[in-house]
Amino acid sequence: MRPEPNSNPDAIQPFLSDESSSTGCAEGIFFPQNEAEIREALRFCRQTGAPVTIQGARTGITGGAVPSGGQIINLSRCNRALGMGWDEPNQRYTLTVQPGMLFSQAQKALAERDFDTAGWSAESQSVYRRFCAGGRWYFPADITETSASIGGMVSTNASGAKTYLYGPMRAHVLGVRALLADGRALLLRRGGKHARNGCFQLRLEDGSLVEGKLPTYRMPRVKNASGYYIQPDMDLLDLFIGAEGTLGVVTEITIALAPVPACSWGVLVFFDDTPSALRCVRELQKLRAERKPAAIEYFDRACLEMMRREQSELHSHQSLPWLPAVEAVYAEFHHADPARMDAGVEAVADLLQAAGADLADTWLALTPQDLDKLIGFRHAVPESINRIIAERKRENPSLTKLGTDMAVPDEKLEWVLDLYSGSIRQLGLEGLKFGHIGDNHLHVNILPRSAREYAEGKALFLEWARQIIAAGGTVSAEHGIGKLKTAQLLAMYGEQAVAEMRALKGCFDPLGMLNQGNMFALDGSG
Amino acid sequence: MAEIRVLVDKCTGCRKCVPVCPYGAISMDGKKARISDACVYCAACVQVCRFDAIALRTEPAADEAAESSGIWVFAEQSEGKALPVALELLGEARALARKKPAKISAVWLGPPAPEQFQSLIAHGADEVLTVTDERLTCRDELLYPQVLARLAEAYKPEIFLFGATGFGRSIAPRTASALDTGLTADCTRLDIDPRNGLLLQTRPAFGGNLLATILCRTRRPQMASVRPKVMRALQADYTRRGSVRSAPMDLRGMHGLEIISVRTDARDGAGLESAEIVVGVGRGIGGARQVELYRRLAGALGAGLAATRAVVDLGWLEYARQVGQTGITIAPKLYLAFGISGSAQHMAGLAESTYIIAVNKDENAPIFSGGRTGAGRLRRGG
Amino acid sequence: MEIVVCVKQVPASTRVRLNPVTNTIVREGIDLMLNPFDAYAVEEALRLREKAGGRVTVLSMGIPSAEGILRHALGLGADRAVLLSDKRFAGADTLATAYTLAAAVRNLGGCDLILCGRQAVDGDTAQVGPSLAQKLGIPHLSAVSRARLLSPGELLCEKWADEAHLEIRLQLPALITVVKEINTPRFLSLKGYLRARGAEVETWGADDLNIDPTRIGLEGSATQVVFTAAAERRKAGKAVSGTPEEAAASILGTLLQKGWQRPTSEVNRG
Repeated sequence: MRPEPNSNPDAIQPFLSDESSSTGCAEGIFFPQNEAEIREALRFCRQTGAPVTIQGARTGITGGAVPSGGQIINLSRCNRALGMGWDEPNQRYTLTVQPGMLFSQAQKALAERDFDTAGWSAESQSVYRRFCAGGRWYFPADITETSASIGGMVSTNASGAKTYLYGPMRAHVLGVRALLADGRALLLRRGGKHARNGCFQLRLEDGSLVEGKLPTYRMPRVKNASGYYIQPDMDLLDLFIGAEGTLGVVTEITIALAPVPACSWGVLVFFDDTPSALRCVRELQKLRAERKPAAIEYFDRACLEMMRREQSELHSHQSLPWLPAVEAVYAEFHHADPARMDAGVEAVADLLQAAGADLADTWLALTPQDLDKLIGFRHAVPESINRIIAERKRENPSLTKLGTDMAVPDEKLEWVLDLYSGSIRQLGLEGLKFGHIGDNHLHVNILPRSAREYAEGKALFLEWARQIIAAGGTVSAEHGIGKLKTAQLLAMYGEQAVAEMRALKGCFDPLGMLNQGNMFALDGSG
Repeated sequence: MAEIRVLVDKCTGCRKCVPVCPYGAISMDGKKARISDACVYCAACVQVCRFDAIALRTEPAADEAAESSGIWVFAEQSEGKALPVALELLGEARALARKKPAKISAVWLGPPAPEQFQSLIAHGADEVLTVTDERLTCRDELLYPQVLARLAEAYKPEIFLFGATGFGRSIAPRTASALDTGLTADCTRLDIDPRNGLLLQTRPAFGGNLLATILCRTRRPQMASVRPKVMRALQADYTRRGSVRSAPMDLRGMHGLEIISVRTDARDGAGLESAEIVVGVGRGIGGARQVELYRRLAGALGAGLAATRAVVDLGWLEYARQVGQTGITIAPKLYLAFGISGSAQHMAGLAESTYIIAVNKDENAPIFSGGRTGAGRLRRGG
Repeated sequence: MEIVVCVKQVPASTRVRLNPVTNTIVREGIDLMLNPFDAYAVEEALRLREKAGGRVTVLSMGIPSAEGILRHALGLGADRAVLLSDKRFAGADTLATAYTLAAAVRNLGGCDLILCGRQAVDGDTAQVGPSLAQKLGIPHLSAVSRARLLSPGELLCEKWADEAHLEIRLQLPALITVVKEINTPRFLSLKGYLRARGAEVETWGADDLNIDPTRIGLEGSATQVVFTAAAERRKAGKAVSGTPEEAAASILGTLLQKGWQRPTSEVNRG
């Protein structure tokens, strides 16, 4: 690759947007295939004074990868696995990948034990041979959109349904190699360097230092993806996870693998009303250790009614029976020992019955094929919403989906559900609630049918954000801030905290070149 | 009784047999292989063992082979016309006869059709054996096997071939069962074993990922079915000589089905098997609503619209359009595959000769390593 | 109404990979499952019982672990489950399987209707159903896409036969093989699962049936597999890259080169 961007507008056009509704602009685009080429691209941008937007697979929905002028560095061709290792103390394999490798590609290669090992070190090759000869391993992070890039997952600290048990991306990253805007390389390892007394100091590969003060704000005690991850005395690797590309360009990621659970099973439980559903969710949330579910998900009545309408419009033969027009809770369980599965199912049946569920009103998936059907149902809910919006947009181009991503502390779950249902009903809007209820994190989607409803919906979200922040919750639990939620980040943490975030970025990227507009405006305008 | 044994003095513990068993029946007992009751005698391990340490033994049954001769081809007819698959099988029968000389008879159940009989002879039959009772006009899956079994018992063919049409796949096993003989369905290859003159029947298994070769050693006739468009018919040669023989048969004692109605109006998916261009959609197209786009494309091209099993299971298109191992086989000249990963199960429904153009987001999809031309990145939102 | 459903346990993964270095066939996982087509047969049997009353018995010939799929069927609502398991049944082709199943059906005291899935995803032959009907001397109908009970002894069936749609009145006792269009199988519920945990799956061996031992298993089979190999793949294709417009133009060029006619202008629009 020549150290010059492609400036052909036709070549750039497809890369001006991501999965959010926004489109940006840019003067050129680079497609580096390795770290050296990334460094060259950064140098070009520095020399021409151009701001840079880093892109993975552009599956984000907050505009994080949408360029606002300047150059794009798209990492999709930087997508190889670079090696495997063995983490002896934790008895697990590790995999090092380039940032552009897709999550689905990594999972497939692991499942099929089929990596292109050209260029791998002898030690990696030896570990790989052992891996191929042994049992099944996988990458236990979970995300809904599996075509996301692993670099993107690091930048947004991505999560999904099974994050409830396995943790977000942060829990699975063992190391990151990054290039700062000035081209200097930084290597961060889990457990390597910590902050001290509110300050941090990192030694770069060339021996120089980056140092500064950590912001002083406290993150809410909920599942959170808003702003930088900050804890006193924190492991500094965590600064780069969820940083939305504002501190440096991640060029290598080392992730921890885990043995594939010997068996998984799931159950969809139907309820006539929300209080009954919540009673069971509360009981499920009490399960700990090996009894803890892998996921607890919720779908309100509007979601099931929407799916029923879809079912009646589809061809008569389909894989799911008729869905009842009620609310539903989905719980999934993993077992390392298949012999324990039956006992696990019985225990959950007891729990649900004691919490008031009707065991005849359940869909139990004990085989991978049946589990696939339930997973298909779960993914179909947001997909159907997107389809309905796409249709309405054809009539009225200004209408887009309105969605929230807020989470609240444990004790506020009933309160927030009441808040959502009450206000939607009061305004007569068409709203659906679903999501990762185990983490008190629900997505509320409003499907506006007119410009007025669109405006009402937006205003409603701001009011909810205000109340949820006051209750100790977060404005973004998994999607991140990107460019679309900067106002909400400001509302959540306040001006001083955002100023501290700006200052932190300034330590790594003094010229403010990288991913301008992500999380906060650089000039203090919001 | 059948028996499979690991010869422990020959077994070196090399473990090559363990992963090869499709049923997971082989494990290691120390340094020796051990075969469990899950074994179905498929012989995959026998082939892979370099040390001849696995022995499979069966007891032979009475030998009917000596008395039988001739290759029969069931000439399936629809509305008095022989189906193309029958002509394809005659072509194959002639190829087999070149390796082991045999008289080839086309077996016709249905209305008298002298022109069709001449066509069968022109396409390779030495003889057309007919049963022309009125009750046989409609293809009756209860009546036909009774007639065919009686014919086979009387005339004792050595080989009996059927087209694996929907009808063929129903009557062939019933006929084989009545004759207490073996039937191999959906063969993709037939051959004669030069050592013993037996019919070598090769068919896909495990969703198309494996090819199994099967023998019917002692029972007769050796029966096999073949899907349409797998074999090739000969060029019709109307100078060929052959005879037409009517077989006397009293159908009075036989029961048939009570067919109340037959509708031959255009069915969704009709014409897929004869379409020159087919548009195929897989799960990658994104959703049920996207199907409309491809339906329009197919319409504009005058092409058929086909689906993968995943798409049918999701309810986006009807089962009649499912192409693959558990659906229909098609042999268009051109197949445009959208969002199809290219599983062996689906590809098994496409003829070898089809030119495939595949469009898929995933450049590692198997269809690209087994297709002909690929293009990347399925456009989002259609 | 006495209904029998024949079900089969098959490998969950039909994916088999060829190891290019050793050229051996390596199966991917050994999970076993209920043959997908059979789930539709079980569902149809349960629906017929709901309409007409009676009893549904699920029957399977397999190894001891096949008890799992039978218990699953009991959880769905079947009344009785019988597993035919015996070393002497092993190696059976469809002929020997049909013979054995027929003996089991007779041992059950006969029935009014037998349902089978159209074909098994590991063998893919669609042969056992018709062959079993022949052994029992009852009529059969394959690939049924709709079934309605007209009266206790008559089933009105619909099926697609190649390109024609047929309606057939089937006199019972009879056997039908079903296709996926016939229904959408229900899920197991937790209630059904708990009920099935305590239920009994009867196991019958060769000695429990009235059979000729030379007609079962490998010895009773007319066919044997003598060779197994990985299927040949097609040749790899040529990749076309670039923008969608560029790719389309390139592919169009290739087609024209191969002798296809340029499409009419209507096609180029939209």
